[in-house]
Amino acid sequence: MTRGEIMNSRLTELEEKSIFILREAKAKFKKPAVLWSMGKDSTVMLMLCKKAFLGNVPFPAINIDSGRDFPESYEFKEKMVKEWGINLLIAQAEHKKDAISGTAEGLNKAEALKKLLEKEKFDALIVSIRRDEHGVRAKERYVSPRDKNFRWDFENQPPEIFNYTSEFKDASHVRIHPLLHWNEVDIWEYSKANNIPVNPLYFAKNGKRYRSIGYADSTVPFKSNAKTIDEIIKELKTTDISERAGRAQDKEKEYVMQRLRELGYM
Amino acid sequence: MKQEIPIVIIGHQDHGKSTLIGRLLLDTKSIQKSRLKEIKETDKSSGQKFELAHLVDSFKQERERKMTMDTTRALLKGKKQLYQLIDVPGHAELISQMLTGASSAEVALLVVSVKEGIREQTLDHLEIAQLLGIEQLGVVINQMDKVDYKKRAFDVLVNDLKKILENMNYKSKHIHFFPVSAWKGDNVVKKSSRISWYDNLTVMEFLENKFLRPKIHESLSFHFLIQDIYEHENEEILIGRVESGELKQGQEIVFLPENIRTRSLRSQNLVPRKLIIKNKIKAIKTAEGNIDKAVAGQNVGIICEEKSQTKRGTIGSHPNALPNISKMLSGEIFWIRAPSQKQLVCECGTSRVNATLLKPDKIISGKKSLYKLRLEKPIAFEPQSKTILSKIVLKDQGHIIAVGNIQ
Repeated sequence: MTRGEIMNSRLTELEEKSIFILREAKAKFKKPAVLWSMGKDSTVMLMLCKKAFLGNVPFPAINIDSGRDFPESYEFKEKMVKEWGINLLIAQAEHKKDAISGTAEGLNKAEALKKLLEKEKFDALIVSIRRDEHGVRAKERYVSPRDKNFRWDFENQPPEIFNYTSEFKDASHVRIHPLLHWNEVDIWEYSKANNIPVNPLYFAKNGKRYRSIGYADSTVPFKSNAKTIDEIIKELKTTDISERAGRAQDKEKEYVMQRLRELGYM
Repeated sequence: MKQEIPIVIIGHQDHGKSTLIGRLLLDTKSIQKSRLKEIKETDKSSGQKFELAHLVDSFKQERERKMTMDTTRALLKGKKQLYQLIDVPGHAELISQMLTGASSAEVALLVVSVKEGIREQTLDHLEIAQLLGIEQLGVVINQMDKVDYKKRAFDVLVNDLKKILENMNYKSKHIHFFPVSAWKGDNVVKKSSRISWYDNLTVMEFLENKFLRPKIHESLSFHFLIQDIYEHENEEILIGRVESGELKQGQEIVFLPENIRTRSLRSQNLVPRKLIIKNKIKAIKTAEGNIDKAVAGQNVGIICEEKSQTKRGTIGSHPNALPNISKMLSGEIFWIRAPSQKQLVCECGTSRVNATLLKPDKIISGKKSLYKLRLEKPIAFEPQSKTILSKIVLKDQGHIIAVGNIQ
């Protein structure tokens, strides 16, 4: 079977839209980078980059690391770098709890990213957030400037009309969000259709699996028996639990996600 | 599952746009229980009363100020189809956020409070929807609970709206009007027992049965929007999207505006054939290999028989179906704000040229007008296409200040 036969029309439409956005970013910015968390979404993003740029990822991938990811995640990272030939840059993050999120995954990650972007002078950062993950992420633009202090001025977001975007001369960098319109199930269906490798932690072991993977000390698994992508897709179509319920740092409660994102979190 | 149909909910502030979205999401079970619980807990811990609008008004400030500050989208799960509900602010000063949301919609639902009636943003939003090319409309007469569900109040408002819509050239015969209380849940997803005089479709039934997705642009003339040029193994690859029509390997192609000699531009519709420089498609490239043809919406790379030496901003077209080419543009435009100078930048598709504003003389922020522009150099465009090649934005010092169509 060809990819065209496996991919349904929905996935094709999602993919085409993302490819257009990625190509616009490459045409408009001098030095873009893509954020790679090793998770399912940003790995799909690497695949979309390959498709957009005719087979290779023409810019570096950034991974934020405090040394406290799961062992399975490190193994997956090594495998991907080797097999996909990723040009990987590590943003070294501290591992201490911040006052807003109460975890080490919030402001430390934003801070580590800020340092690396400044040092390497990246002017655009491709980030794999989706609207359906969180109400605050749903307020994002495809092309979203961060000011000199790395902040998101959410009260004055620029117009984005058809494919047209403003130019941001005063930005420290601009976030590009090509996956904004995808849903969690889309990510899995696309991963399956394109044989994209995934971290084994996503699959159920002893009746539990991870739906969103972060640091080992701030991510909890949820009850599941889904051992294959097909089973995950089936499970997601009926679950009443939200995707990032297992991630301590971005609860809706107390507007933690909004406060973190204002300060440069993804 | 197909791609969602994007629907923008438009109307004046406080007429219940976000509440309608909240009601649709809740009554179709499109929102996960755990997320609903989190929203309710946040409201409780911050001392606020839970509102349906909080399902989309996610910023703390939005809930405190009881208003939508920026556009957002939520997935609505219908029985037949998925929808993307686009929430936009109803305040005049947030019109740029409104345009951002509305510009990606294919259809619109207008919300009008039966108690407040037709207000300024009711009219402005209708004008914007029309300028953006939204043709399908449904009208939700909201807050029926505030007038004791009286038929007379509904009829009076519907009559007034019909006249306005006719004046704006909306085909009012095809527009449906719903008596609704989004807050109480009448006629949104469930039929209302309190409105016995209305025996017709609910908003959701209407979406599921009457809204048709507009056709994509395959049947139009072929135009290829060039975004970038990549070099690969000494070959020039033109990177872009098929905007309309169909691209086939081996077909002839012309790059516009540069492949027509400038002296022929004065009589743009009478270009002598010998002045067009033709090229041929040698290969259509994707990451998965070469393909024979590409259709509207597809992003590909093109290799031509001869090096084209073209650049971002040009259009590839078939020699027998050329787009318009001109230095003069005119049409309708909506001003987010008044420009600070006459020298602006005009973008159309991927082309970006300096432009002088000739008309109008007087610009009112947040209003529509006719315009006339003189460009520094000619661009290719396609007024009738409804694609991006018929839409422009104007930039003042890099910031988008207006959006318009070309007529």
